[in-house]
Amino acid sequence: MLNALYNKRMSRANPGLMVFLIDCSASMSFPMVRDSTDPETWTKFQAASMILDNFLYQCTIKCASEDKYKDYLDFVILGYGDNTFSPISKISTSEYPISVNKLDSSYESVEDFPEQELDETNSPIKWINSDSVGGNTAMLNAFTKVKKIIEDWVKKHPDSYPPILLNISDGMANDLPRDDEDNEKLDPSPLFELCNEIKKIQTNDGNTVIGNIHLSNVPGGYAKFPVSIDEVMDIEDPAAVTLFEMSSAVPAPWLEKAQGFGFDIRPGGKFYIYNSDFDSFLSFFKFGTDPTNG
Amino acid sequence: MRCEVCKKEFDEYESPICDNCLRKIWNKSNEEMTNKWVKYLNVQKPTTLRQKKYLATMYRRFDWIDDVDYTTHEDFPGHEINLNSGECSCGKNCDASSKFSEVLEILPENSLRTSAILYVLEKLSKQYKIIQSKIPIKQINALWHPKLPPKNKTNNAEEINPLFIKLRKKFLGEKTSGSNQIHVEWPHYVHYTRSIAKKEKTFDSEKFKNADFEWIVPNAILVQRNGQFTFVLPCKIEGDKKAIRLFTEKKPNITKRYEQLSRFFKENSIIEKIPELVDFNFYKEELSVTTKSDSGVVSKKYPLVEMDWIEGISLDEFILENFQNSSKLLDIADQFSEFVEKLESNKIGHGDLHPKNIIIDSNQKMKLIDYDCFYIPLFKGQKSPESGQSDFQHPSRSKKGSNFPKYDETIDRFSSIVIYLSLLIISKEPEIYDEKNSENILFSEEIFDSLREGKIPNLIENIKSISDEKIQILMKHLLEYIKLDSPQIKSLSEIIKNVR
Repeated sequence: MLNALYNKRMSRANPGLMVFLIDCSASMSFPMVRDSTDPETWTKFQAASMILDNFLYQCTIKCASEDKYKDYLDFVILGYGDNTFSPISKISTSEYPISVNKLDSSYESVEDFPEQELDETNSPIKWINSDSVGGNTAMLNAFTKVKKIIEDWVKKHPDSYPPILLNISDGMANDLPRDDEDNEKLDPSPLFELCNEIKKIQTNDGNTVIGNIHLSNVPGGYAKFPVSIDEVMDIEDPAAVTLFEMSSAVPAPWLEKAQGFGFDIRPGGKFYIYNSDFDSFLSFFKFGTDPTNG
Repeated sequence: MRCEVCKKEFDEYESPICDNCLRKIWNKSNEEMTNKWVKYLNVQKPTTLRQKKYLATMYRRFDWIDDVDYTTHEDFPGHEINLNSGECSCGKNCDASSKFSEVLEILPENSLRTSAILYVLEKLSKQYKIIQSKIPIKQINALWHPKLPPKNKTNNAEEINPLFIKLRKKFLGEKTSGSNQIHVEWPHYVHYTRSIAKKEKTFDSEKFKNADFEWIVPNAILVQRNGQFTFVLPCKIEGDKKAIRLFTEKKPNITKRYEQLSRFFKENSIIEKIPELVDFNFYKEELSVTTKSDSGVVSKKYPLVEMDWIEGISLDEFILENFQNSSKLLDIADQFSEFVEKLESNKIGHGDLHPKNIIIDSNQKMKLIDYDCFYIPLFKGQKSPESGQSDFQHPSRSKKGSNFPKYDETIDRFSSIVIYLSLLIISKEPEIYDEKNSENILFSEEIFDSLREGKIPNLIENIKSISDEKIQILMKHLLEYIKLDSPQIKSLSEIIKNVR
């Protein structure tokens, strides 16, 4: 009997793997486009680290049980600027993947809870080092490192839910070779090949999923879960097409629940938003990490 | 000033009602808002002219009803007021314009909510002799800025609330419950954690203020044990280890249930009669927690249950450690059957028997925890708050609309047969036990379902081949019960009384 894919529950015996790649290039310190009525502005990196810190916090409290964490989930969190590094300063790149247990001793700081509403951006615990931003966009390098980590992890966890990789970026990879024909341009094909190889890494429950969230500099001009490359072809930014090619299609079993996150995804739609504002970023992130809620 | 409601002195505003009472009234009205308002309150739209007129009517007793042309209105002959700016054509700061400008100050984002509180106050004014126009707009506006905490914290919620409800019933013809209530988010783990991080301020009683909670990360992650709609925090109070149970879902009557349960245990010396049960204290309004509501952030007091912490391991862990030790298992099985017999003969029931709720202490004595579904005679005719852990309950219990089983002292009959039988089987044939499936012990919802579909799972085949009279007779009864939608389940002791 053929079992439905993307169906496995994450458990201690068969944990899940969440891979987060965060663009830490200099432009990530520019303000994030938020709802126009909201006076509060965050930099793109702040937005990403708040959302990520909150996710890590939610994971730890979910597993916090009588002095030990129930490890149902492994993490990889890598930043890329001039090179690839761990944005959690107490964890080195070579230590990944880490389990929830490891998070317990690796945070940067604990702050007081905010007095007001608790939402998806508040975490009293900060894991992500705010000094991570600066430099280039060595995305190819990061995906190369991550491919090895995912391959090794899958060998150990053949029956697990497939790994999910979320790449949070605001621009074009620039550690790419020059295009043969047009020396002004970069050739993204090594990145495409790499991502195709990563997408082929699979457990018995399905293939690794790559999602790309591109953060906005300017309001308007979304591309949400595009099905065809034509939908992003006209965007001048070369990142638009590059990230399209890198993304997986949203796994069919996820389509149903997309509506609950405010998304209407067509079958075959890529797991990708171009020029996302804060709210879409948050929803995309919650949608992409939802399988961890098993 | 002396507050007209609580009769206490306060000095925040020149107002007939103190901030604290106003907040209470407002929070209360939020919670039990009449149908008249709820339809509109969630709609965030710019204030319309009509609403502004309405506010004016509410706040300053203007007689500006919808279709009346104010220019010819007897109160303001010859005045033409711009209803958006409040300015008057006479060019002076005339009476009409100053009154209307005041109205415009009432938060324009949601005039409906402001209308609602004015409406509520108007109804109360008769009782308390509050003239609502004497309440400064500043004070009403402060209700919309929950960042400002109520100043003088008082504990007179008790005095004011029942009276308030009565008043509302009288004036508004309001029903006490309705589906259209304003939503206040029930706290979950993070909200509770935030409160406990500030325990000196948030707990009412000294003993909890001074309690030592176990933190994994100080002030951010608490050690916890999850339940169905509760979670439990271990802590030390005055040197003793305790378990604090907090509720993560709003359950109807939960407060009343626990109060009645606590009283019943004490009045009937239940702990003395059944030492497997653990004494507990229920605190109705103990921990102040801040959560979101439709109208912003609200602080409310939430209940908790305090119980002795039972050191030990849960029954499933005990079996996993001892599944090859037949005599230990049989000892536990005996304790268990005696326990359920005592429950029933005292006309009470646990309601959710499963291995995680059964703790075996270091002396191999059994203790039962988690009384969320506990049955006592006072609850006769009610519904069970939860359907219990489905791997140990009759499949009909979790079916919607099912009236089976009755919520009475026989509530544990099915689960006790499952648990007792499992213990006997493992003590006799440890090979049948699957260590990977230790949390369910042996049976599961899946197995019950396939039996109902007429399939015979391997496990059942294997059990049928065990030569043991007690096991076989229990198995026979269990299979019979599973197949029926609402079987007459016999008690464990009745089934096994003539078998040795």
